Amino acid sequence: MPVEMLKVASLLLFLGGIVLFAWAIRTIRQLLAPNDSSPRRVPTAARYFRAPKGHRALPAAFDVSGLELSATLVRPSSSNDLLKADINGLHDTDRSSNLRPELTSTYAPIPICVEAE
Amino acid sequence: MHAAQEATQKSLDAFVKWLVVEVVIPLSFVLALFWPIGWLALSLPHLFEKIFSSADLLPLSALILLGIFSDFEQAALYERIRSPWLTALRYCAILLAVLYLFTYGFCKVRYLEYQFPSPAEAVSDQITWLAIFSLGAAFFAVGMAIALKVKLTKERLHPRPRP
Repeated sequence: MPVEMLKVASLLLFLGGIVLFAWAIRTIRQLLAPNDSSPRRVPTAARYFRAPKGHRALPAAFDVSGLELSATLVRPSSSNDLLKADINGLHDTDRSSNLRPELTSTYAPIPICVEAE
Repeated sequence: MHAAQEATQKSLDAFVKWLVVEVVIPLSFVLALFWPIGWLALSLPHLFEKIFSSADLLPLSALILLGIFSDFEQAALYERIRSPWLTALRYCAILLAVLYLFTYGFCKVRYLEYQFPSPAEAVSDQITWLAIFSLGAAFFAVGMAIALKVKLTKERLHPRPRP
């Protein structure tokens, strides 16, 4: 192999390696980022949830795994029953929200206590 | 600990184990021949060229890349990770591995043909650059393997929604 070819190939390999290492470090930092709210993290169930008028929606990166949830049936006679839920484990600003009954059925492993008013 | 954080931590632990077992340990045995073993214990002339221009790093790098290709194949088969970007990258990895193995043959023949001069004389430029090329190839392969492994870990943790 000619020396010039070896020089160019070595230079390209080192430069390419630096680029690949930089890309890997960037991806690792993305993985370790604590508040990554990219759309790909949104669970399927939360994507279809719409908050009732006057209530806040669920946070974008809502993940209910491992949370305890207790709920109170607010309008038992209505066809569109709402559950007032208190979610333990979320930040203070996200502690309360309103969930539709059909949504709560999506989160099957979560125990829900319903009290009729 | 939050479930998502726990999954991320487990994946990163697996990544670090892979890095140590499949990358650091094999390469460090070759690099250790230069330093500290060669540098401190052996007082051979032209040590850098004698160790690295034999291109032993090339088949090791190829094995690392083939391991990554195998990981991607398993991910595609059993975990249904079918990103077109990752598919292209895994074929890049195997092409590069085959290229490294071909190059290894040429470099090794050139190395075996070469008669190293006496300590007072300089080694030919071609042999010196062959050693640098070998190191560069290993550096690129390790960078590519780490980048692909991290990308695969990211795909496992946050899979793309299916169209």
